[in-house]
Amino acid sequence: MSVTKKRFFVPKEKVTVPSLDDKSSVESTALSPNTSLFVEDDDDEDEADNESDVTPLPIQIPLGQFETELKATVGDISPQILSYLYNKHSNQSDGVKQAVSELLTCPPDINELLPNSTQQTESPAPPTQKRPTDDVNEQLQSLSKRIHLASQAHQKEVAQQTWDRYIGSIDVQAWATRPTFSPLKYAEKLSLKRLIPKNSSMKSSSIIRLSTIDHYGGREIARIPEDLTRIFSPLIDLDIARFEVSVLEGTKRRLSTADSFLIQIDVFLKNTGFIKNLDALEVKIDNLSKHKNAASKAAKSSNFHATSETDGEAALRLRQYALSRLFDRLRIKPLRLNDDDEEEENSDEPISLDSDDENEQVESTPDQLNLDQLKQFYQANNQSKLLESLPETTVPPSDNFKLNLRTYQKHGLSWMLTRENEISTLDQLSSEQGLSTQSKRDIEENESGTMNPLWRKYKWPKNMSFAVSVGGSTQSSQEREDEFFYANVYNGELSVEKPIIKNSLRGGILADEMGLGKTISALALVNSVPYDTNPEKSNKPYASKTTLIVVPMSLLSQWKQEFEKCNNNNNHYCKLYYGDEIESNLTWSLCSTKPNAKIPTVMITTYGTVLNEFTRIARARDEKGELPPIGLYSVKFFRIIIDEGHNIRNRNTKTAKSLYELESSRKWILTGTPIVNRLDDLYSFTKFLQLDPWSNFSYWKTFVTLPFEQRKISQTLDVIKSILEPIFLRRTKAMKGRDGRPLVELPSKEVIIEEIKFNDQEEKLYGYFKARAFNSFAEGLKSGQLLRQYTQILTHILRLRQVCCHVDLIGGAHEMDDEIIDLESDEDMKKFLKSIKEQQQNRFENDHAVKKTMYSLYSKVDIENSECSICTQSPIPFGEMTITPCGHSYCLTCLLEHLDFPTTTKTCPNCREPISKYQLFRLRNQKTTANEIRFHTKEPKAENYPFQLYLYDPNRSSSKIQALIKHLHDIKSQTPNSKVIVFSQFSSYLDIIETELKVQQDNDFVIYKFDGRLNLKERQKLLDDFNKELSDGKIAILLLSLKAGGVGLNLTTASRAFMMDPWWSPSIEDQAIDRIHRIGQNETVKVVRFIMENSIETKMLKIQERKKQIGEAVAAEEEERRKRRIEEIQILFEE
Amino acid sequence: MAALPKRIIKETERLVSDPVPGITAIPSEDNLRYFEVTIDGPNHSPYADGVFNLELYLPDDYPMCAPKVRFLTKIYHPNIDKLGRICLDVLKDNWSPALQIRTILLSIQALLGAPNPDDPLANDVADDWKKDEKRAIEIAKEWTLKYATKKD
Repeated sequence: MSVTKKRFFVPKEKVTVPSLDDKSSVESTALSPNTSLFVEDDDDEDEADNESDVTPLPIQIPLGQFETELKATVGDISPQILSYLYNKHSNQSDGVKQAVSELLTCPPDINELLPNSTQQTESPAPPTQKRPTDDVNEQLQSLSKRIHLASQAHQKEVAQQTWDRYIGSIDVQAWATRPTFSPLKYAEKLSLKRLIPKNSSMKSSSIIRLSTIDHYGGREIARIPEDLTRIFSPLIDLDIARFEVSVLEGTKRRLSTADSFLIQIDVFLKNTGFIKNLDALEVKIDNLSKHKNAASKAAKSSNFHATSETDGEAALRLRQYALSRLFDRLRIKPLRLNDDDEEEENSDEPISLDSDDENEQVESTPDQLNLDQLKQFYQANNQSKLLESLPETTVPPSDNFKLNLRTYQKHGLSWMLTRENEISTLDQLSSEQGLSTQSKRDIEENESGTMNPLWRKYKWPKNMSFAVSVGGSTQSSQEREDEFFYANVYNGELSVEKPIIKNSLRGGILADEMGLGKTISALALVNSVPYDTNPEKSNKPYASKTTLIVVPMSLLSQWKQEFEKCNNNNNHYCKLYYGDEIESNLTWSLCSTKPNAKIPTVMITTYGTVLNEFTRIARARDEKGELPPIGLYSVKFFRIIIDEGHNIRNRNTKTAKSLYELESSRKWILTGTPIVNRLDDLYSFTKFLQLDPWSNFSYWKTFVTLPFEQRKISQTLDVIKSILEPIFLRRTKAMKGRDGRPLVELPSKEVIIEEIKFNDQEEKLYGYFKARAFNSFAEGLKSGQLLRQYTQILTHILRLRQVCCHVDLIGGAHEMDDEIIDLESDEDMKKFLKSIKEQQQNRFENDHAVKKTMYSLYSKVDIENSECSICTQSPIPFGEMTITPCGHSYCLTCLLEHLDFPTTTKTCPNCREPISKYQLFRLRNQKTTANEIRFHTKEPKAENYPFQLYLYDPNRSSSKIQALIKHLHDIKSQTPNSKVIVFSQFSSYLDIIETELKVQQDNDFVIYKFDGRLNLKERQKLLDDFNKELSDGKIAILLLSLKAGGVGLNLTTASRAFMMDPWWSPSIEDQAIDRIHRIGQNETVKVVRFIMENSIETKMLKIQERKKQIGEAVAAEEEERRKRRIEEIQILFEE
Repeated sequence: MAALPKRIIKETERLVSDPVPGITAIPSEDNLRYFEVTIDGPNHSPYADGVFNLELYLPDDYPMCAPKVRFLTKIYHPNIDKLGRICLDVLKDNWSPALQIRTILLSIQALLGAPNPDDPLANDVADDWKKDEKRAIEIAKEWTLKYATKKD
């Protein structure tokens, strides 16, 4: 009987508690049994003990006397109960009275008192009747019983401060349980009585009876439907609601058992149901999850917590169940979060907190967002009262920062400063007058946080209770002014005040669209608040003067440059933490307190560096799970900014984990694409930012992932919105500023698709591979296993794409870098390739013939006085210069056009000698000595020449490269000194293009190639060189791999781009084009996309179109995506 | 319409700045590929003292294919038919992109000086020419006087 345990009490009015610290309310209130949620006491003797204090002298009543007195009052009772009561109450003066009252209010369970179970207070039911599933029910039952008791004990005190408010009415039939003495009158009041028999099953534990109201305490007359009793019981037990019952229809005669009559039940929510201490609620839920973690880790929390929570949970469940059903019955619907008038369309049944299966690995199919949902999400995050009130005039101190910010960037800076709680700085920087009081108020309001998304807002209904509608005086207590109340749909908590999440988080997510200058915004922030002026103590050395910026490798030096561009303070500098520059402990260099210490304001590092350090030291965690203080982990930074933050979107990656463990006071995420394809991408951000409680995955899963999977889209987006709204800022180029003009006005963009014909060899090869691919496709289609052959078909498709680019991409030295091709086994194809190369007609008979002709031509080459008789250009550009065996010079493109022209004879335009594509010579930029010529021609009078002739191979260069070269020449002659970007997704293709262009001439083109093989310094130098202004009439060409250079780079010095090959996803190409079409671009951007005519590439364009239409990110279900993939393949193979 | 290739611009400039004696070619203002041409009949030929009007059009594929040329003035010539079409190898199979407007017009002028009744276009004229060359030349002269002489 003396087992120590905790019990759930209904929260009391806070008024009775002498001022308590909110945060420690659980601990502190626990000491005060009258006000706590969880009370420790000794079984059921609580009240008895309390009263025994009044008469401290123990007086033993003899058993005989006790028995007689008791039996005289209550009649016969079993010996077990008698002995139980005697043991309990005999030593008190009014023991008999006590025993009687206990017997009447709460008869002890006889089973409990049986000899074999006397020690087990937890299992009231005898083992014989006990089924395992009843366990919980029984606990609940006994719990609610105890709650009931406890609440009764304090009802009197509480009653003095109560209010209640009408919430709704239910008209219902009641059935008489026993005959009445007289007919019921219209409008007669009845009362609801809650009965809790000691020894009862679960169902009957929610017995509610209607009684008459009279001087003798009423007499039970009827019952109400069971579904209502189940709703009402917890509400009564937990003291949430009050009920008024009125008879709607007088009965003509007195009632017999089972007669029915109509009643109206008016429900009033009581103030006791409204919890006032939100922190306690938060902590409680928090503890809840903590408890689960702790349980797995060998509980840190005391037993006190561990057991009390089960009670708490159970109470919450009861409460939630009862309230949500009640609201259903009363047809009370929540208002939309952001709209006071509209009711939520479908208030789905909330998810119970207890349903979370802890297993994170059992992730269902990845949910993806479609485009519309994304748009909805972004739009939802655009509007905010706070944003409107923030000044658009904030600029960083000019001592630190020398660039000019655009209006929206100033606005963004205001927001960032607000997020960092630097209101005074914002005040100083925003304008001369400082902030308006209105803005200050709005900011302060925002400071207090946003509404907790788990809560719903409800409107108080009009009082339609029986008493009011009949015209009687309002018996109910005073009406309150508030229009709304709030309920937590997940645990049934109620509140009249707006439940606010306070976020202590300093930082946020800046998700401006690409090209709006996130980098500059971030640097403006750094320069506005470079140091922590009020450093707090931390367990790690605090680098209070340093902001750590984590960026992808390709952007490392761009960041450094940007920093230097805007930095105006000699004491501020930027350090790269990368490669050889890493340090084993940063304390010394960052946390020095010496006045002259040179501490970097900004330290830039890469994701790779962080990851490396993390993996290196992760194994050396100490027993507390802390990482050893090495490198980046050796200090706590003032601020961390991560660029291209979507790099950490997958919480399971090591990169993400390594970043979670970096410490800082303030954290920022910069990203242009916060959601790549799943809503869960956002989770990792909350984790990194430590946005409690969302950084707890089971929490996130319960409130975001699961509802979303259940297709409660708008509800989920609402939750997300309220999670992110305070910490998330996104502007797009199309958005309009306060002046109504778009944020950014960019010069126009012109994208032309240029279709190109295959040359002979390409045509043959393409036909060959196409036939193979179609066969494979047809087979797959026939057997219905298209997707199983997916890889194989992909390989075929890849081949076709390669032929479109350059024949040499297939096999050999230029094998694709990233896709698997089993070329070795493909003997058939090898043979074909070889045969094609041999088939070429009109060749020189042998190498000797080539040389003989070639060396005889040297004397006929006169570059300066050459004129192409086809295009009349004079002199012919070095790279175009082509010599026929008859010694005439033409531009290569002109001559090829002539030879490929269908109606012309294949002769030299000048002398009508028959010529062939395979017998042409071109010039290369190398010297040829007289000796060499003399050797081959036997001419004694040979000279030295500054060039070298070589035999032209028409199939070496691809049609696309030819077209590119033609364009480049045009650009060179029309707009010399300009810059051009050439994109391809195949870096081996870029290699080929590079070679081809270099052969052209070194005079006109300056060629740069940027791909994944360059290291950081090389990259930077290359970009620097490329961006240098040209003045010698040449054009600079940057060959850029779509993968290595698709993101982040700023290449606005160029206004022309060529896309050599199409990519499946149009957005990747758009992103590439955005490298030049962005802020800083002053000229019209012209982009040419090369597409081979009637090839797989034209089909790819179709797929791109399709993707644009149906939304880039495909729908949630695997099935759907499968279908789309098949459709796409079918598009590729349709004739 | 595609931009005018450099070559055509260059040729036109040269035709104006450095004209061939006895030949004029003036591009139309509406269409720079269309030329109004005059060719003086060569001396010592039946067409002497005549000035013949022609039209010349450069197709889109020029210079990969030959210009289209036609006599507008009636002419009695075995290689030129009633519609003014000209039978000349360089305007057909023997076209070479190395040829130009200037050279083509010179070739036509030369054709006037050296009729070739063995490769006729106007069969009746060629027949006349072969049967009675003197009479044919007379008719040619008459026609030239009648149709190709400037009436001042």
